[in-house]
Amino acid sequence: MYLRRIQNSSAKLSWANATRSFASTPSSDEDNESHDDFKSKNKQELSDYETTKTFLDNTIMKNDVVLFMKGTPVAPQCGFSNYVIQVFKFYNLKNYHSVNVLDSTQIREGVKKYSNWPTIPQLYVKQEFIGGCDIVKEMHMDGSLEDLLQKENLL
Amino acid sequence: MFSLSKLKFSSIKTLSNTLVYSRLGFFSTSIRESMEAKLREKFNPTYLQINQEGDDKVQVIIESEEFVGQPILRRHRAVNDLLKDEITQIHAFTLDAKPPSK
Repeated sequence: MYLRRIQNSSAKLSWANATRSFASTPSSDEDNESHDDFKSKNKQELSDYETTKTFLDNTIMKNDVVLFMKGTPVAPQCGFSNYVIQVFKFYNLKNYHSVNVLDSTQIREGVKKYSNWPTIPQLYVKQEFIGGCDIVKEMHMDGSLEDLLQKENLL
Repeated sequence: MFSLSKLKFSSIKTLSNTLVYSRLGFFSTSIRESMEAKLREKFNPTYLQINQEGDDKVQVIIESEEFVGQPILRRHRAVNDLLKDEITQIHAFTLDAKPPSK
């Protein structure tokens, strides 16, 4: 009985620790999502998205590797984004472009719509959407990410 | 670098298609129940584990014949599209969607 309680509490602790590092800082989220300035009207949102889409098109066109992330490579604000940065470091991939979605709600929400992908981070390689953290992780583990980066002469 | 595999804590297995709920987390069950119902209907999973921490962090591990021969992006998109409404309500979502492990 006592032993089981210990097992449960330690399992709970590890899950809590793990998820804590996944989540972005609550403050930045609340700041962005609750600010009145961002509660735009429908028409405004539409034109905003066109502007955002142009920005995303250009960014993805001009850079072989683009990572939309929370925070910066030096200071990631989310465990998922940090994971991808650590994977880049593992392959010594330095020639990538990162976009901090916390800088702009338009970009943060726009890129989700653009990629039809619900979460951040998002990785593009040679204009192709690769996926988010889970996919990067799996491709890192099975070696297919390294194959892709090598095939595209990015390493 | 942290490892997502560490999340496979206290191995909660499905027994004959019955989900044994995680004891962890004291959260509203509605999002998880909704996810589970949709996933079961669409993918008829051979394995399904849904972990939730707090109200807004969810991890889904699913194995299904539907994923056989599907590239990873398509597998993930299939689940993301199905759970679109639920995912927008939560803060962190992780997914492991694979063919049945032999």
